[in-house]
Amino acid sequence: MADEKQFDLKIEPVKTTDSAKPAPAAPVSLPGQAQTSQEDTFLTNIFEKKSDEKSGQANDSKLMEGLIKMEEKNVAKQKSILDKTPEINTSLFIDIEYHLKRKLTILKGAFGSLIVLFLIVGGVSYATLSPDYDYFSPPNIGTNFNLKREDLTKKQNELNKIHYQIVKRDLDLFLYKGLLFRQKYNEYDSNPTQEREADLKDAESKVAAAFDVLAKEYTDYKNYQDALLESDMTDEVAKNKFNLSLIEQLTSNPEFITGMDPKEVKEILTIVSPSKNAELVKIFKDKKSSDIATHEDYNAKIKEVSALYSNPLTTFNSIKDSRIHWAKFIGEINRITKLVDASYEATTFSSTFVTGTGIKYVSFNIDNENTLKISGIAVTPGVDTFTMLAYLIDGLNKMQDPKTPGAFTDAEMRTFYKNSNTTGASSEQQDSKYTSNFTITAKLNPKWKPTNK
Amino acid sequence: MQQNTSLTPALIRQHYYSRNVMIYTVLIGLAVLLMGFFIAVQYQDYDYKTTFIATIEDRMNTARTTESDLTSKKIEIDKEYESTMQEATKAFVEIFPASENYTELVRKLDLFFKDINKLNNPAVVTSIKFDKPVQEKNSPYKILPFTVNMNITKPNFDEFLKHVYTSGNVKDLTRLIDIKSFSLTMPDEKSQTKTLVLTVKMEAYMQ
Repeated sequence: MADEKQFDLKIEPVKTTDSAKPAPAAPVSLPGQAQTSQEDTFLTNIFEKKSDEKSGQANDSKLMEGLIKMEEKNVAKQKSILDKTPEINTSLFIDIEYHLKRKLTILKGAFGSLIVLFLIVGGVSYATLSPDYDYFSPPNIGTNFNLKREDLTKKQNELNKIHYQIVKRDLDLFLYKGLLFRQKYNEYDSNPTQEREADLKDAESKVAAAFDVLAKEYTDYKNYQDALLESDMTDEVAKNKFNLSLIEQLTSNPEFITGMDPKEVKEILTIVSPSKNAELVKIFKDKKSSDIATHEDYNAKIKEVSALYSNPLTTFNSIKDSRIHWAKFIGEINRITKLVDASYEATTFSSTFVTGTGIKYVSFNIDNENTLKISGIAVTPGVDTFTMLAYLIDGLNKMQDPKTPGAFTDAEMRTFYKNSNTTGASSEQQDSKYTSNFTITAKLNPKWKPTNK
Repeated sequence: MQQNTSLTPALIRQHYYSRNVMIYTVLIGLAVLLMGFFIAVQYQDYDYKTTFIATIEDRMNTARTTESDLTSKKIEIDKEYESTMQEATKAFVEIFPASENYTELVRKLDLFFKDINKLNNPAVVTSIKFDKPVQEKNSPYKILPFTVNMNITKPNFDEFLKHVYTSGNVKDLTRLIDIKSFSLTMPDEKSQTKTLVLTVKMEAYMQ
């Protein structure tokens, strides 16, 4: 009943609009008539409602319009700034969402397929090209490639071994002919005669021929194959790589050096080593003997090659080059001493002491660092013994010319010592008053040449 | 108001789908690029390796030809090399031997002094003393030190110095020697030849 009343109350405001319509009489509850009256009331209400609906449809629409207008006015009053709320067609949302969802599903599928495809392609690729994944049909392309490459590298190492055996022989011949040439050169240098000059020219032509053979060998031969290189390798890097590969084979593969003399292996290792090889290439590659102008140039070239290569020939040459030309330096000491002591005689390494003044040498020594040590005795009648020695030291230090050092440099004697001598062993010392034992050290200048030549 | 609240989840879903569509589109693009790059690299590798394998026989044949040429060249050089080295080895036994060979050195020195010694121009070796050979530091050769005492005139001493400097000659097969120092005592004042009495410290070289 309460609901019905509520229902009634709910529509009451509609009824109130129709003021002409009388209110229904309040139901009277009688015993035994309660059910009937309730049904009556219900039916009455329905009918009333039905009739209200029928009769009030026009009124309702007007009412709704009025209400909406009022509402709109209220909203318009409340929303003084914002525009009217846009109307949204929700069906469009449903369409867009559907399409997006479909598209996303397709993209997800495509992405997944791509990943799967990628994995398949990668797998096939590795199984085909990588020697590490050689499981399915060994040998695969990668393994096969490595084996073939190894074969070709081995062959290239064999070729390089023969090439360097030839270079070693050519170098030996060049150095031996160079040795003969240098002998002739020294002979001619000490005493230049026509006969010696002819001998020297003959020796030089042989060295020139040997030089050209080596130059051709270094210019023409390529110690690698392009197919065995990585794409970004320069010529120099490639050559080094294959030289190192040859060194590895020569030092660690006994089979590779079968039939080779161990001395030959050692000598080849010297000329293949990157630093020495680079220098040798610089000397011989794209060069001609006609570029070497003088005997001195040939001599220098032979020395240069000799310093880069190690065998008995080069060792022999280096010992010969390091020796001191004693006669030349002794001659210069004698010349300088004669300037200080006029009565000095080179034939005895001593003064005649005719004036009571003089220098006499006792020993000459040259050590491995080219330091000369000369010892002797200086004698003077007066107290000026040190002056004579000071002149001797200055004479040894004198430059050949303002720019060229002489035969000796850094000649020095830091301590001067003398005593009066009246009991000397020889007559000249007995006649003299003061003697000084001296030792002068000086550096030899190996490049020095006497000016009278 | 009821209509707006019901639209919100739809908008959120739309935003979610749009964003994921964009993400997947980018991912697919990247995957295609990556795959393209990978395939290109792999193809290059494949092409390089298969070409190498296909042409290996040609390369090996070229290498064999080069090997044959080099071997012929080496055989040709060996003819000159062996005869020259035989000559060099023979000379080196004398001038730069592998052993001390001091007896031969004594004979050669005696021969030299015999040649230059004259009555009015003497050159006499009074003693020779050989020490044991020593290995030169950081060098592939040995040194045989020896001391020579001699009575000699200055002109002959100059000859001796020259002989020492030109030693190690392949032509006259003189052993490679050098002087390290010399000392002299007073010349014999009574002698008219002015003979020097010298002690010369020397070195002979060996391999």
